[in-house]
Amino acid sequence: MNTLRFISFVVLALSVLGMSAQSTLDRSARPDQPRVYLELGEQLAELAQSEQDRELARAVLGMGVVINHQRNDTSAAASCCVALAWAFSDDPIMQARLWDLALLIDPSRYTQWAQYRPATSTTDAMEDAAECLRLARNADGDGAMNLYRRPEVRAIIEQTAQELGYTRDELNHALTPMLEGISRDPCRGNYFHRGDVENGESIRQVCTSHGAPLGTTQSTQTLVMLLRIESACLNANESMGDWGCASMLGSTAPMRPVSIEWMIKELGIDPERPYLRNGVWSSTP
Amino acid sequence: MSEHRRNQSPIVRFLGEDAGQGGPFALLGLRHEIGSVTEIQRARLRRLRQVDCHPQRATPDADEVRLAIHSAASQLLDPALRSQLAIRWPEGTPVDVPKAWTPTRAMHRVTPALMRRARLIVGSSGGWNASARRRLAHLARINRLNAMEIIQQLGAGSPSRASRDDSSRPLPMLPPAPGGSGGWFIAYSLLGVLACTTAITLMIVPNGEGTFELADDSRPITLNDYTDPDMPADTGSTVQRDRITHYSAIAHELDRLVARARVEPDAAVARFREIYPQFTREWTAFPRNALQRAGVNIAEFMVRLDQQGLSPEQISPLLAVAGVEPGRVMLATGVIDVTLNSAGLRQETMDQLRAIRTQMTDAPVSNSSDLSVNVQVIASHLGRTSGTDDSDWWTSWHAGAEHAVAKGTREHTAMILGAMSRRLRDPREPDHQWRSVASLLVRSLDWRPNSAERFWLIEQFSDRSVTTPRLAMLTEALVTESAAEGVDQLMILRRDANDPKRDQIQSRIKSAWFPNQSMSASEMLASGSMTPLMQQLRVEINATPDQLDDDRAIDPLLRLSRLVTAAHLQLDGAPELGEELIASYDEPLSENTPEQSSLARTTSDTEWAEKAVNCTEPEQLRPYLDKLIGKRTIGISSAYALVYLAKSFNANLRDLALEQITRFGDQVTMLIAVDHELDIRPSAKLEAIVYAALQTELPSRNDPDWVPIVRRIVLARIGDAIADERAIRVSQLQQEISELHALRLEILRIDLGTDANPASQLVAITNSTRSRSIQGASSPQTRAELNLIETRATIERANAPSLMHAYLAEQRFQLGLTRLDLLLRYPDTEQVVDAIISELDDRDARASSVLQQITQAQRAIAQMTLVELEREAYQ
Repeated sequence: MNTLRFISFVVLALSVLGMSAQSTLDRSARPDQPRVYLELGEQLAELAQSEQDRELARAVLGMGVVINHQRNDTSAAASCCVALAWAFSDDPIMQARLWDLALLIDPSRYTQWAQYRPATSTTDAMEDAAECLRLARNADGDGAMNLYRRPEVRAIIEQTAQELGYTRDELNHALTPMLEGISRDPCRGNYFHRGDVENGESIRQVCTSHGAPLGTTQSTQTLVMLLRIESACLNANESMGDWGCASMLGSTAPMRPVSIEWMIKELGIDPERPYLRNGVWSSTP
Repeated sequence: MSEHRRNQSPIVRFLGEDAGQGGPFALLGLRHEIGSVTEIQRARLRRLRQVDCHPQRATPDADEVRLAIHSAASQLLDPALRSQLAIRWPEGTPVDVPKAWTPTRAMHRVTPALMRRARLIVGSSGGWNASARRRLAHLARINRLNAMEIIQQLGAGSPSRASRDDSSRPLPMLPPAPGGSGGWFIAYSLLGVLACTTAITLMIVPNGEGTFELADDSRPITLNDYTDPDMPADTGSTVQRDRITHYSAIAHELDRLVARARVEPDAAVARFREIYPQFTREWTAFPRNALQRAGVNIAEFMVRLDQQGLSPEQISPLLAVAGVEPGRVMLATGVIDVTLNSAGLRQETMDQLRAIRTQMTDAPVSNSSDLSVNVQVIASHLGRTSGTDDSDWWTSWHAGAEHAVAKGTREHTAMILGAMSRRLRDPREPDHQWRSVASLLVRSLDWRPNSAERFWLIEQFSDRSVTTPRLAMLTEALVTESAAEGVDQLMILRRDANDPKRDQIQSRIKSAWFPNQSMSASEMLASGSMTPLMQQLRVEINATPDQLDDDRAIDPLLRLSRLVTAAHLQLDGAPELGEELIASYDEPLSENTPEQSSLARTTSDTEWAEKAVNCTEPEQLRPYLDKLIGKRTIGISSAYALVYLAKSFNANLRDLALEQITRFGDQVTMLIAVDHELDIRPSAKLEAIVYAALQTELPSRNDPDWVPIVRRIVLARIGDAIADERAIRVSQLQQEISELHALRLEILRIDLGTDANPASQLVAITNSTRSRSIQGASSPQTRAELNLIETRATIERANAPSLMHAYLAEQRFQLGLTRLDLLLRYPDTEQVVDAIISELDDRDARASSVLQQITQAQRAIAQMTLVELEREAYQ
């Protein structure tokens, strides 16, 4: 009973806080009070419970970056940008880009940038995704399938493939037979197996049950695709000292500088509509 | 009281309490921050004059004080000693303004009748002389007035002055001076100085026109104590003297307001409202040091008001100026920027200030606390964005701009050229106003041989966005009113001239100013290797398409890199190396494709693998290994067999296998076999296998990230090994670019070793040539640009996922610095250079790979190199 009462209280408190923040936002988010975007954006980000709430918080902070930058308040614009970066805590790439933008707006933030900007390190899920593909290439179907069944691993493989320009069909066409077919492979991931007896002793023989040697694929094209996805999942680009290798397996995507325009596009905000009324952005107060 | 006076030190007795605080600064009435030596000299003279005005000036005590003044001045003239003394001794209070400047209740007694009488006295005395002084003093005394009040009225109260513009209005009212017992002495001393100045002025009047015009009431009062010696030598100008007097009075007021802001904020605000508009009108009379000090004082004044709890609504409007007069706008905006850069302001106040600033101008905020620098930034922005030909507007702008930026400097030239460039592109039909403005602006530049303005003018003729009527008026102003040499009436463009006529006038001016450029193409080719290089660069720049695929990006990148290197070798003083490169700049990449193993399984491969893998002793294995002698590739099964043997319990067998793994370590088959083993905990055997294949330093086996790290390296090696034809060409391109950079590094005497990649080579080259930019980056504005370029580079380096991306980041860094360097050295190139960057941005946005971006960036580098070559050719 007490637990139920406690939960009710928490829900009520959050609702009140949420409504309070929302009403404050409705009242104050306007270009002539540019600092309010930062305060309210942070408040909303803290209270956000749904993806919709988070999007609103990000939009408010993004608008804060734009408005404060327009008013030449680089410090406030950079602060909004940093708050926005924290609001993207689940997306280290976006977070890093926003930290970059904050530094670009206000170069005096270098120390903070160096300390807090997420490094391009791999996560466990990314390493598992790479391992999944490696196991698939090496005929360990069970091991590969166990990893592939994990949603986060599958999502990373699919997203990485997409970023590298491969369609989902291309990926599935290459991966599905490897995941489904190889578990029946007698060598179970070993290249050699005990075979015919010679002079009373069994000898090691090359397992020829695979359509292609272990570690390779049916075609070089498929092998390159899988290796590229593995490389991207492992962030192996940095290890590629050779430009040819980088152009073969690494990311050849163009490098685009961060800018306010980039942020506007990413967040889908409209600087011409800086007033927020009942959750809707408007061009007039 | 008399006892007290007797106990006073001579310094206090002669110079006042402030001077007796101890130390040379107090003695001379100087702050710790001393702008120039002349400031010390002025202070010394001022103090000596005070002593001379004292009733006891002929006593030994006076001599003692004089000696102390000389000694203090000598000490402060030594900058090193001055800084030491500044630590030890308090700063002085600048000598206060004479009490006579103070408005008194008696002022209303200065009636017109009294002034008529005063003029009569001066006139009947034969001008400013001892007799006039004495009689004026008597007149003042019997009317219970201060002599200075009468003198001030004599200098300011004429009806003719009232009808003049605001810049000639009376001196501002100043607060009472401390002390007050020395007013008469100061007044006399000022009278004396005035008389001397008048006498000197009369002596230097040409043709002996020495009769003093007593009725000339417009003649201002000159207070030489506040005259700035840095001002132009033409001190005979009455206007000049008036303005100098005025600036010092305003500066003094601003000095005092800082102190008053804490004690009596409301009164200080009221006073500031009177003073600040005068400051925004008269600021061009302020020398640079005084202007900077005024800016700092105003910022401090605002901060103090803010700290006193005045609301932002009360504080911020104090810095607002109404209207669009650019001279005032640039000053007021600059002051706001200085204030915004001051620590201690509340956020609300800063927001208010920003709002006011936004209403005044959309110029970017400057990060400097130097008012002159801020004004320069804003003046430059106003000039480049102005859409008017209004001559009043431009006169105001010009006065401010000329005062903010020293004439003849690069910044000044760039500012004037930027403003003219903008106006020349206005499609509206020009009228006489533009003619006046053109005259004003062309006279600002000296048009000396090989100056930036000469190059700029030639470029304006070529640019069809420049309208002919506007250019015509500019040429007219240039020929008839500027200091340009070598131009005549035949070089004035007609307003209705067609393009051929315009080209003809351009050729005439070009021939007059750049006679060497008039050579024919064949002569140019024969004139040396520099010109063919420039031509080849032009050809390659024009031949590089705006959109490329990766295959087509390689060759242009290679050729552009060779030509740019050749150009820099020539500029760096190694022309023979440059010529060698030019001779072979379009040679294709060498066809050197390394042999690679097939991933397909073959019968012979399987047989060899099965035999090898069943060997248990080295002796058994050796015959099979002998079969590998002379082979450069290895089959996939054989590779697996060698890895299998390398895990054997038999150490000798392992060693034999490891030798072969090393031998075939660059083969994709071997790398795939090694990669296959990387799913277990790292053991000594596994480490040995991996090391044998990779031959590179590996992390410790205890490192929890051992497997992912090693996998990254193995994957990179696999990438090398399975490279297709294009990837091989890209590798060769990298090698070639690396060699080109190595050549430059050698000339620059920088040793990076043999393992350096193109990105690290390029950053070393950029950093060594960057010193040029840093040396030129004297202004805070340039330093800010440099800071931004470095910040961008830092971000891009952190974001570069591969060494190709890292190379692109360094190219962009180099472009940024080169742009800055060119603008510093050749201010007229701003449009050209910015057009290059703009074109690069456009091409870069359309690139779909990093290789294409690198090619387009190299094209922009080539364009900038061409600009540099063209300019260097004239030096």
